[in-house]
Amino acid sequence: MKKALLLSVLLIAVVFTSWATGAQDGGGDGTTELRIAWWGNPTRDERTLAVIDMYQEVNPDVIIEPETVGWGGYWDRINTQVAAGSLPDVMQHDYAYLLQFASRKQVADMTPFVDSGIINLDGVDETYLSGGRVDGKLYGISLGTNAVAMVYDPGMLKAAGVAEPTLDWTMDDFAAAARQVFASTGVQTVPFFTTDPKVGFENWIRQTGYPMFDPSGKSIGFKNISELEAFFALQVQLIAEGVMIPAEESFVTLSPQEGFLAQGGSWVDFIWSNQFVSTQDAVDRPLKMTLVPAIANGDRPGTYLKPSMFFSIPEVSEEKEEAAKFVDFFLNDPDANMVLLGERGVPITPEVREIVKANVPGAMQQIFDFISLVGNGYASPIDPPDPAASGEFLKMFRDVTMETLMGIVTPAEGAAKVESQGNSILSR
Amino acid sequence: MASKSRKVAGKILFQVLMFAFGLIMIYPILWMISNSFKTTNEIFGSASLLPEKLLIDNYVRGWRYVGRLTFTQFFKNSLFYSCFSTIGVVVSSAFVAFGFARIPFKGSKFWFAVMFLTMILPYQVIMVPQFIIFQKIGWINTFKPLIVPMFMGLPFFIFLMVQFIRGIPVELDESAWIDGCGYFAIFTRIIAPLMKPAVITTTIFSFYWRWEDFLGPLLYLNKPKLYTVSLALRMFSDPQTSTDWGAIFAMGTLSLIPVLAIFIAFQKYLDQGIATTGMKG
Amino acid sequence: MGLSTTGTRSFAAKKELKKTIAGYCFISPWLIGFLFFTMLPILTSAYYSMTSYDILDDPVFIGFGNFTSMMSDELFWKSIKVTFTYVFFSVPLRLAFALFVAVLLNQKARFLRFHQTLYYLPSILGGSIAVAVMWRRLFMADGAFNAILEIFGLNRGISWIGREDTALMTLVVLAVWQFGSSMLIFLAGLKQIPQSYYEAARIDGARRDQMFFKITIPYLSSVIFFNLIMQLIAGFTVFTQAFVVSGGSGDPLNSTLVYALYLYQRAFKYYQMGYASAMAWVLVLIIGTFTIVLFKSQGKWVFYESKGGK
Repeated sequence: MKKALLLSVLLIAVVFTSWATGAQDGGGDGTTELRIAWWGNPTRDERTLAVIDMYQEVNPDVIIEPETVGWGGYWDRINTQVAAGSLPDVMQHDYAYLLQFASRKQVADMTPFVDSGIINLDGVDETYLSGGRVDGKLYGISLGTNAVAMVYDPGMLKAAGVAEPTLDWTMDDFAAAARQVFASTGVQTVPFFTTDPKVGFENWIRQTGYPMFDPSGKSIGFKNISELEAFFALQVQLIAEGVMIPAEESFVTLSPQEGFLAQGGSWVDFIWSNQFVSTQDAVDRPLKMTLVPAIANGDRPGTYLKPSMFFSIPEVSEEKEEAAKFVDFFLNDPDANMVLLGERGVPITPEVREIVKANVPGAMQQIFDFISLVGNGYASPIDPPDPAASGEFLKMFRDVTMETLMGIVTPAEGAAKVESQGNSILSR
Repeated sequence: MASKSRKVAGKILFQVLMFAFGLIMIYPILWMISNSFKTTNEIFGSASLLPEKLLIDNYVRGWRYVGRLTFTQFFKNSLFYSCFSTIGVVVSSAFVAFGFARIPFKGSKFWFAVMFLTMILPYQVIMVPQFIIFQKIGWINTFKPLIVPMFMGLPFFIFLMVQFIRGIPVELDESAWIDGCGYFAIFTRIIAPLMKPAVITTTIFSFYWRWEDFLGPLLYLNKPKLYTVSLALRMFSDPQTSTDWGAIFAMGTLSLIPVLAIFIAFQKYLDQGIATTGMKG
Repeated sequence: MGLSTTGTRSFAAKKELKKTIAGYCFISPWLIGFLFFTMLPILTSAYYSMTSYDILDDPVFIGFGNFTSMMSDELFWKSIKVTFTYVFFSVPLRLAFALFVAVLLNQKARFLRFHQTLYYLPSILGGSIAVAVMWRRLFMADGAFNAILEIFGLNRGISWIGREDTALMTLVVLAVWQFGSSMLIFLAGLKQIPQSYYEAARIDGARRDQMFFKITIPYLSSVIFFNLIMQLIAGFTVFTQAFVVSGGSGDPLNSTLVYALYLYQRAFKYYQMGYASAMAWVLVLIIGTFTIVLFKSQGKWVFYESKGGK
């Protein structure tokens, strides 16, 4: 029996030894471990990893652990890490979620690092920084500027005998072009922003002067849901005619390489301007980008310039200063930016912008031109960041859009559903 | 004569049908393996099991994963997790099972019933509070939340081993008692050696379950350095960024090799184990 | 004399105590694990289910608030519906397939061992992520399944994982495909049925189907019963396959949003630990009800040998 006792003690001892050995991982030997996380695409991953290698070469005592997945998986992962208290040292952030993280004090104020010169923001225009500020504190540094865009295959249009889109294209022009492309070549059209249809409708509703969300964050920002009905109805109509790809197929999450544009199933796609690089990488035909078509009776442009993404330093990081050094390198190092080439959007620091601009390949040149075009009269001011419940709202919006485009509910019912469910999610 | 040839025809038909159905059953697996040698464009829209040419590239590219981490690390992690947990769960389960099966102590029946009830308790009930407890004591991003509970035995295995021990004649213990052995000696000298078949079966299944475990690593291992093969495969095949299907299938195929190897080596025990214990594979 | 009885009594009591100590020693690993990793979480879970708790701030007691808001949560009902559909298709189909193939394999013929291995293989490999990832690819619009349909001229370019009415069925097929382990269990059961039963029935002129329903099924009923319960529990808690095949979202249109996946999302996507805990208790209720009903009903259809099952 003594032996029985001994063995159970032994077992417990093994447990605790494993605990003790597992407890000490990383660090300790003079090196710093930095975890850097971003949502990506193959092009971005390749370039970012190259920059990480460059940084490690200059800083041999820093070991960087990259973490990358796609947009959806990224936020699932980040949310688990928030719950676990194990966010990385540098995380890529989005305008939609930055406010939520800042108000919960999950990301650190980066002002001290800017003041001490670790992060050099000399000459950066305040308009580029304001998106990352909450109550005067800098919770994220913009990595570039973005705007929504329509990307199309001019070759396909030419083959179909359709003129290329102009800057004053309306939704009617778009629908007419889509019909003609389908009639003469059989090539279809993708619905608006299938990964996040809210982006498509936001562009639409902003043209009527209303924001997507009420400034209070407690309700939707628009009163007239007939616009939403029209947004749905246009797509439902095109699907019924066979012109637009049914939601059953077009809403399946795919990588750019597997997407309809790359596979020749669509002549057009809707993206954020910085995604033009990875989209062009995935498609072996030359592409062009332009404004998203406008609604017929709009009061102002719906497009706005948005910080494409931020780098933030989570509050739980124990290596904030090292993290800040990396952010600075990422923003300012000319060689690093020659690799990145503005894939995350048009760079914010003037020198880097000039360097990159002078060296960019064709695809990137189009993004620069597009962003300056949008900045010159085709943009309206950005709305406040999305409210905290936006994650749930976006999922609901996408679900209802799918239901409507699949014909399960009518456009009017879909619009009413967004209004009632949206308000109940936001008011919680 | 006619009836005999009809019988032969029937037998042949039976074999053909059984084999055809078997082929359908393993087709998906063969498809995955063959895809691991194809280019991504070859994979799209093709049901063929024969790659145009055998590409080893997929394995090289896949193994490199992203950044500086390679699948070497993930296989190491998976092996560490699977082996360590399995040793723990088998030893402690056998130990506990002996207590329940051979010692008629006070409360034995009660605790056995409690243990039986926990078998039908869905993991979801304890998932959230366990996560919070482990988070509070700083066990996140270690293997402890995954391994330590295994050292406490698994009710399912304990139950099976209790059944097994009850099948061993009590006379053996009694003669040992006369020789002056205590419970511990009876366990180590008499029962444990006889438990070999049960131990092998539980070892195999424990290894399988740990190797294929996904939810546990998903919750507790948030750093790429700690990913198990399952988790790395999921991240690798993220629907928004994954394009390199050849490499994904190559790593998927590799992840099945330990499972297959054990299956081939221990098939006899597996069949027995499942048949006698009603265990799910 | 009195001395001697107290002596034996104290000796007996001592022996009893010794046994008790030994017993608890042996079960101590499990007992400690049970108290800390099961009992404590169960109790806290019961408490959390009555709170609003986002893990960052302290839990706030809200009574049955989580349960009442569940009643009006459309996604909750959707996930219930999805899970029940999944269970009601996958579990019976899986058992039926397993039984059917087991009967086929339970005869005298060649290569049975080989066939058995082929049918069992998917069960061994099916739980792995690699297979789930492959499954997603298999049923995409440009996947192999459509390519096979193409051979028969049936390809309509359907994205099986993209359509609301077919996505869940791909998961059901994935589950049914893994009927191998149940098959082996049934096969072992079949081998124990005395051949004399069948011979007697044959002499009485019974047909094959009559023998199947009058002899095979009753004889196997206890094995079927055990399997049914285990598979129901596994079915109600299915997570990994749905998570991987749907890309973690329950897409399309939440048609693959199984209960465990929705619970996971509530807990780790929206940090509603209280709500998730409440959902977990509803799951206990559902599984408990099914288990109890099955146990109650077993007298009607499950035959144990000792009771003289025919």
